[in-house]
Amino acid sequence: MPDTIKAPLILTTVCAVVCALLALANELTADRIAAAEEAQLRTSLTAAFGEGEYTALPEHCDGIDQIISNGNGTLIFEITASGYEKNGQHLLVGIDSDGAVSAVCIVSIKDSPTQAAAVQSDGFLGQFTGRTDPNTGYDAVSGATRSSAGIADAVGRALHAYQEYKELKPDA
Amino acid sequence: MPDSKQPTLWHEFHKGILRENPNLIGLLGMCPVLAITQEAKNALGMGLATTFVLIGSNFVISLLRRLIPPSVKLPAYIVIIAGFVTLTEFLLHGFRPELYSALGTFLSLITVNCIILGRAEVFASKNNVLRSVLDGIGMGLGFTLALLLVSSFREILGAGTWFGLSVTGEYHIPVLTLAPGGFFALGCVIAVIHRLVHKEPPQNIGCRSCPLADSCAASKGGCSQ
Repeated sequence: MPDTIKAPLILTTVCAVVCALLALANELTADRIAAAEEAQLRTSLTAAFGEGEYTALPEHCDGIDQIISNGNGTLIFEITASGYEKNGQHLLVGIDSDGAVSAVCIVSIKDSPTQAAAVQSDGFLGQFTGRTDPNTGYDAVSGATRSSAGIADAVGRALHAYQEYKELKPDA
Repeated sequence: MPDSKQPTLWHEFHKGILRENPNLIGLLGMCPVLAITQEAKNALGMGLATTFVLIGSNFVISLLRRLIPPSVKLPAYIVIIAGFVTLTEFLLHGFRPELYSALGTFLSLITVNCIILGRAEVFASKNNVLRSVLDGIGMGLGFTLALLLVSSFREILGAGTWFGLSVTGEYHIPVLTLAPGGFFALGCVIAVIHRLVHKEPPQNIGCRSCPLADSCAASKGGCSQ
């Protein structure tokens, strides 16, 4: 068989076999990964907002993965944001009944370990507590500028979503 | 009939651990050694994940070495390596989520680790399956050893802990956990290892001065200068 046909044929076969095996591996590990993500979310909710009964609300807002209620007036917005890696940040932003940010929690972050550790400090995340205006500026961490921007963007999105949610459900 | 000049299986296994260590002697794959070595726990996880990918990719590439035409061998190798890296990501995400989060983007970047593509090209594509797997195990253990040495240096002296356990208490040098400390720790470990294996600086710059020249020249089509 001439190389002009054989080479692409073999490369296509290699790609197809690798894709098929990965699809099988995904099928076998998907439930386990979903359970691990659920456990990680539950641990983060408890660490940031305390023990309680967390309920996912049916309402959807732009830029928000899920809205969670903890039963005592705080709405928790689950958000996927982009730092150095696209959609690499998984965050929780809690907003209390006064419309102010009560806590920001990083569930997982795929930026480098140094950048991830830098933005997980209380000094950086603490600056968002009490914030009510989505357009307020922030102090980025030196060396982790894009990671900082991703988190600040998530806080802004949560505050916008909170206002949207309150317009939809003023009594909630 | 076996080739009398062919190295023993034991040589194929142990050469990568110290004498031809891909990091500390070959100076390949330096990015994770600098980026992931603040904590020994993460370094060990990264080393074992890379070892798994090295063994798997060497095995498959050696098995397919007569089938893959030279014109598409590099894209084919990358697809095979990326497949093993994705499988490693699935397994770590499902069974070790804390390690998956700690390694971050560097887990995906194993795909472009030049040690893996280097061993595929230099060794697995020219040797049988058994030798390629032993080479993968040895090189993987050598890479893990390098990560462990650098991370232990940085974590013990920089943070006063080792695998999270307190060693020196409050007496530590925080700069070692930062980027400049990574370069300093790597330089110290490389100096000690070169001293231990009696590696002299090359007299002439060229292919033959490369620390990996022996394994490369021993293979058909390898280094010959």
